[in-house]
Amino acid sequence: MIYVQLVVSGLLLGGVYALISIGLTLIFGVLRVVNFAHGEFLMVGMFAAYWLFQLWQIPVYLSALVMLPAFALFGYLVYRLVIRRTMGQGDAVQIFATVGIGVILQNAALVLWTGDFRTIRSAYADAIWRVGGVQVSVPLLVAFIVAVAVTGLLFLFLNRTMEGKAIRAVVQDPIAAMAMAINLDRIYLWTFTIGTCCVGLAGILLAPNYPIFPAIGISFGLVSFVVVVLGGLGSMVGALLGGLIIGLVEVFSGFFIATDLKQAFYFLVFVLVLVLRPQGLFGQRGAEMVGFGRLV
Amino acid sequence: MAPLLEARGVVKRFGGLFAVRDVDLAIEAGEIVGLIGPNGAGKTTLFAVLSGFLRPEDGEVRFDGRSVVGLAPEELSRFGLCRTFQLVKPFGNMTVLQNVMVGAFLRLSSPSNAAREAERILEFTGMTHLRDVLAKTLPVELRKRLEVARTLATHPRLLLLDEVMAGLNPTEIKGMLDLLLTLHREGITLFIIEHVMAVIMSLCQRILVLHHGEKIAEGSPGEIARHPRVVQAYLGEEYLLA
Amino acid sequence: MMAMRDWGPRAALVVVLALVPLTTSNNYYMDIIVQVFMWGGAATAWNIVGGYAGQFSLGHAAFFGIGAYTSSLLFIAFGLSPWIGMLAGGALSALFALIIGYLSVRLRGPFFTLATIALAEVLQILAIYWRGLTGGGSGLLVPFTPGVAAFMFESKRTYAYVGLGFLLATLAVVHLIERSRVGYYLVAIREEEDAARALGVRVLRLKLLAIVISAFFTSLIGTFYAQYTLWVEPPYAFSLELSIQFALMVIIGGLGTWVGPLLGAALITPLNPFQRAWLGAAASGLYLVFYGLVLVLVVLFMRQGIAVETRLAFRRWVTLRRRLASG
Repeated sequence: MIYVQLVVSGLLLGGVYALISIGLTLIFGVLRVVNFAHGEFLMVGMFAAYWLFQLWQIPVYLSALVMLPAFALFGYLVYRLVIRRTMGQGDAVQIFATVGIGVILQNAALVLWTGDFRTIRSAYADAIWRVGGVQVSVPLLVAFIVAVAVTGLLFLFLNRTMEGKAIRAVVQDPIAAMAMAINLDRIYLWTFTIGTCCVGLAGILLAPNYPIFPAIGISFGLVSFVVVVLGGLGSMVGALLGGLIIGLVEVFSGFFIATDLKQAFYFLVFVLVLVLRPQGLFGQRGAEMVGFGRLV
Repeated sequence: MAPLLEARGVVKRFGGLFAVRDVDLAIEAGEIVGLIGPNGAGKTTLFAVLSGFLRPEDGEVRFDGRSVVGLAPEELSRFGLCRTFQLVKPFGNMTVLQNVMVGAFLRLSSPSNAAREAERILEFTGMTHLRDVLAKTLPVELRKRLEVARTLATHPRLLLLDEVMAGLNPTEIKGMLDLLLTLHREGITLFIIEHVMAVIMSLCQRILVLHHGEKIAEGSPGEIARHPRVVQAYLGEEYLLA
Repeated sequence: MMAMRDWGPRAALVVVLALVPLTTSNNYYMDIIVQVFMWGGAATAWNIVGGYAGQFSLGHAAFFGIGAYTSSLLFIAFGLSPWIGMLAGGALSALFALIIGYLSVRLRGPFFTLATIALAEVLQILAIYWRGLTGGGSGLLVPFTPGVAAFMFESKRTYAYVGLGFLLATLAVVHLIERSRVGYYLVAIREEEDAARALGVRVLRLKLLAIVISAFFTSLIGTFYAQYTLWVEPPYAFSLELSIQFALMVIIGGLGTWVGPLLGAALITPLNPFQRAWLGAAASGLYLVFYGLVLVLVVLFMRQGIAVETRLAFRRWVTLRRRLASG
């Protein structure tokens, strides 16, 4: 019976991780940018949900709608001001510009709201379903469903709409895409904004379930990298499956080995994937960037 | 005598796509051999396999009689097999001299010896006046010349040159051509990918033609120019044939 | 960037540095001097991998922490002189660097960085978990028993000179690397890794060498840190924040330059309010926001770091003046 509980908890946690990672893999897949501040974007989303609830009693799901335009604007600004200037400028610029953004966000949060752990105290946050002896956290279940829904929506978007197809064209061959009069800059802007909205949304949905504090961005950020690499860079489905796998790894290793060490486990998974199968489960493109060397 | 470079049945696949399909070739020491074919024919991929940057799915490659499949480029250069890149890769923040020194360090370990050798190579390739110029400030023609000079410093026996004439004007092409002929006179075997037909036809003793990853013809420039399959492969492409 | 004629200016700088600890007797300023030397040394060590080889590790705190803990634990448990403990720590760090390096050296760009972050995190998690050994989250206190063998001194000025010794050692190593085959190869790898391979550069081996050398010296300075502050804790010593600090100093001062890391350390350290713990978390947070902003701005607009950019700007100004004067 305990196994069922572990699997359920692992999958729910995995759903959360998937939701966080979808934005990251999309941004990497299209812009080829590794956003080291991804975890901090999540943290901002969580704080947004917290303050909206704390100050104006806005329930979490309403926050999501309210904050969506704010996240889009945030993504727009970060892209225009920083990300755009890092493209094609080499590794140092790309890595440290995003690391810098992360440092700014984390510490701005620290200055504004201190390092105290905050929690959303609402009936919804603590809601639990009991299904046949298994406990299911309602907010996590919702996050899981949203993760699957978002993956599905993005999939449709990328395959059925003009914008989406343009994005895929850019992933395949940026130069050919330019030749077809696809405006690369606009595609990058759109992608980065969508990716930011995804992770912001993830933050809001997770806020009921986790303590909220500035440094939480680091651990979630790192997990999302693990998930993305495992699933394959640029692959939505990969992010979903990768998330589920990591969720299960974490819950099982936490239970059977030691709670304090469970993070260490998925980091080791991370390094192993990078070394043994850099393209992850579903990626192909990622491999040559990660380490197989360039061709020409 | 065994050929300097020999390849048999080389296959390179990317997913379901065959970039190089069952290619055989043999290059004798002292030859100048050309490799031509329409865009996407697999020429650079073949070079990448021969120089160790890519591992073929199947096939055998022998350099100087010794099997070299799966060896890394850095090992192959020790044996004397060196390549240049289609998109030139100078060490931008190093001077021209320092660039060539990196090549010289393959055979020499002391910086002063490497510097001396590099100076010698610069003189040989006519770039002594550029010795302290930062490589990233060089125009295309000089970058290409630098790339050749750099590989020269490794004392290669076989040079794989990938479109070393691309982007050069006629005067520059003549200059590069003279350089290549000088290299050949020094005893270096050359295997050249080129699109500038006039160059290939006049420089090479023998030409291989690749199309969709397969070798469709091999022979002297005259034979190749008249070869029906070759002409057919190039129809629809804008090329100057001879 | 790699001129052979730098003997003169460098020797002059060394003399100036040797005189700096004599310029003040104030403990507060001396502390800043010690820290500048210490962080300067650590940054210089990081520069070997980050600036010269172009591989941006954000896991160097792992080596720093290993150095700090190894010497401290050996001292507390066995009374072993931290000087020896320092070498043990260095050896351990070099070993760990071989492992981290072996796993991550095939990875390029941001993926190498991610791998180093992950591996340092694993170490930090383990360090906190083994609280019996490391004091867990609250850390380890090194008992203050001054004496040369114990690597502890009454006078801050002595610490300053010892710290200077470490700084000069790392600067010397970098100087030697710069003018050797290894140095040329590292820069070639940074500039165009594939072209380097085509010329016979054994890229993986060299990256590994750079990581190991860098780790060794970072570790030595970790020991110095432990002996100076007399307190080590995993949440700081193994932290990502510390790793970022090393990189930040070098980027600001100038990646891949000899003097850049020291310059960056000199610019950043005196502003650090961590010393003024009474100001509280808000102040340190504000300082770090500033820090992050500087990092983003330097990396976007002053790519070559302050050392090189000011030299270039100065030259442009001189040329401009000359042009204006000649009318």
